[in-house]
Amino acid sequence: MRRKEFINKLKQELKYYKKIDTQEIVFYYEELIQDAIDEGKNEEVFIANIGSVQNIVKNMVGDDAFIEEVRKSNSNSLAKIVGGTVKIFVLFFYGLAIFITFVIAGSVIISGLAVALQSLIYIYANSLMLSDYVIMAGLIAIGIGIVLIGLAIIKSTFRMSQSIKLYIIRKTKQLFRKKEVTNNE
Amino acid sequence: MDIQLKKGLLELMVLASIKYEDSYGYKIIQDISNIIEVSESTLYPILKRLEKQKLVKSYNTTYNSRIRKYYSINGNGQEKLKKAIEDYEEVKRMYAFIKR
Repeated sequence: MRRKEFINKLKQELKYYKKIDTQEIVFYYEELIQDAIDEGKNEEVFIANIGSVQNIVKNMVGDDAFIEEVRKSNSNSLAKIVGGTVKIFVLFFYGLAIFITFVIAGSVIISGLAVALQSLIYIYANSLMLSDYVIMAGLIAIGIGIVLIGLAIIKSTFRMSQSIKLYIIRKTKQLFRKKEVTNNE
Repeated sequence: MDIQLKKGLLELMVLASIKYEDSYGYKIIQDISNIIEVSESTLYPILKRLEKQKLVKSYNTTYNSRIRKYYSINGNGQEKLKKAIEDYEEVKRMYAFIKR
């Protein structure tokens, strides 16, 4: 395998790992291979000795956890101090988001019920022609449909709530981490 | 060799390899390989870790009209090496006991 093919394979493999800095790793291997060639090594042999890209990435992912550990053990980090504040922020926004969704879903359900009930009352209160019945039945169906939409919103909120929470936590953490990095430098 | 033990020692070896002068990936591997086999894919995470721990700093320079990344040890790194050398006597005593 030549350098270009190897690098392409590596890039392809790294695509699946968002946390890894692809560009940096590609530079690292490009430089290594070029240095080896400059030293008079055989390109294909050198690349074969590096091993499979799958193995490279596997090693790295395994090590990422280690990096995270080291980062956490730096007790003077800003992250620890703001940790509590971040949690409160996250919980607040999370609560707010859930609350808003439920209010919307609730009002959708209520309006659906209202349409259906209104139509029912209309049927009982008035003597109607057949064509009116059809229209009322349609309205009831629409009302029920709207109620179902409301219920679906609640259901999907429940299902998504965990991932929403994680998303908010991740984003907030990223925000603070960026701050931390710039503070350190 | 035990992986955790090797990991720690390789970190120190990388630090030692740039103790006197800055070096780059390929050369670091060459220098260390004289003592113990180390693969390209092992070195990267080690360098990354050392950088994260703020024991080394990296910078880019041009070499043969291409970019090469150099690593240089800083005060913390030197300190860590010094500490490791001091630890050696202790480690030796421990091994003497283990080998008994």
